[in-house]
Amino acid sequence: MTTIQNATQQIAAALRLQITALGKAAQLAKSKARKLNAEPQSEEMQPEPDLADRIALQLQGIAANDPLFKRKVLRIFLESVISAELGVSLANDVRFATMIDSVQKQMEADAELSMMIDSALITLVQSKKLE
Amino acid sequence: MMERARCLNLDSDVVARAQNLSSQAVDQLWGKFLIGQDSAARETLIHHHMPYARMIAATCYGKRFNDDIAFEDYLQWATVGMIESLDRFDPSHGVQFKNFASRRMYGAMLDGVESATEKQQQIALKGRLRKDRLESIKQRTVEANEGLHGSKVGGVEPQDTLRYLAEVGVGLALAWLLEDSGMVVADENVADSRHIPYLQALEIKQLQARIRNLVEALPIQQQTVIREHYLEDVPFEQIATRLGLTKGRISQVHKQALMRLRQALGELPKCNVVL
Repeated sequence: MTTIQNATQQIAAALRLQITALGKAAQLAKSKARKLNAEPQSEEMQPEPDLADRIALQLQGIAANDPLFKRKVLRIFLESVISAELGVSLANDVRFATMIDSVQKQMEADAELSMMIDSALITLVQSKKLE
Repeated sequence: MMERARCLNLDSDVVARAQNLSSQAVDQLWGKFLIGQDSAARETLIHHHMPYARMIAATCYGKRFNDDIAFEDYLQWATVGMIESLDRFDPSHGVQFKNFASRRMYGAMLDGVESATEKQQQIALKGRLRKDRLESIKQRTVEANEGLHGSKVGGVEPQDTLRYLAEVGVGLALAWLLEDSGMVVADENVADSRHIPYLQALEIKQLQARIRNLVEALPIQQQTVIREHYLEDVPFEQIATRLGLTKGRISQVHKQALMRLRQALGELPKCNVVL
């Protein structure tokens, strides 16, 4: 039986990997900077809120038959990876939505990227729906 | 003025009657409007002169250089010019209303055409600049992923594709921040938050301020490309000509600059305070 819940869990897990990868890259850059600047270890990075959990919740809010399913999933994906990279507090700013709109439109308008979006996000969901 | 034009009574009978008035009736309407400020008389006068506005718009439209602007736009500008003329008309100067209004109508249409053409050019330029950026960002990501994973991007594995899409998304977000960062504004307090509540606009404003500072630390060639492309809206091709390089090289410098900015942003502490 299907299961949009499985699908969302799958996407959430995939996103978690991306966010973790982005987080690791940022942490690596920071530790390099600390070594160069010899900063004291007491200024250790604060743990960031668990974005992947929030993403999973957001994905569960999208109905399986929603005509805008693909766009909504892509938007959640972009919001997640961009805020993981540039700071989760950006989402507090009203212009964050405008930025995501612009990024999403450019990606969707590009034929090559649009195909990739289909193959990655949607194939992932569809394959789970057919299970 | 546009709002007032929209509020006119557009009932077809009213319009037809207004357009077939005798010259004596028109003179009476002018009297009511100019002396008594009668709004009904004003409205009838507007309807009465609409065929003339249409004729002026058609004359101007007939001399157009291209078909980018529709006749309805010419008619709209001519109508606004005619209504403005009506409100400013002073018969004591001894000039006929149509003579007086025609100059304003032509002026309104020329202003409108200039503005519309400029907008179209700006839209086309923005599209070209964004295309340059996207190609540059896509190229960067392909190389980065190939280097990291030794496999071609967009392969069968959804994880690889997701990684690629994430990289492109972050690159485009950085480009958006640069495009909108107002780096030419020396005073940081002068931000484009005039229409946005201050606190809501704070996070992106702060991030853009950090990016502005980071751009200052880029190597001179990367700084030049970023400044010319994002601040002066110069396409890669023109920057290449100016610097005596190829467009491909400028695209590479752009991608390197974005990578450096991204790396440098990662080294700065984030303000992750979720309200």
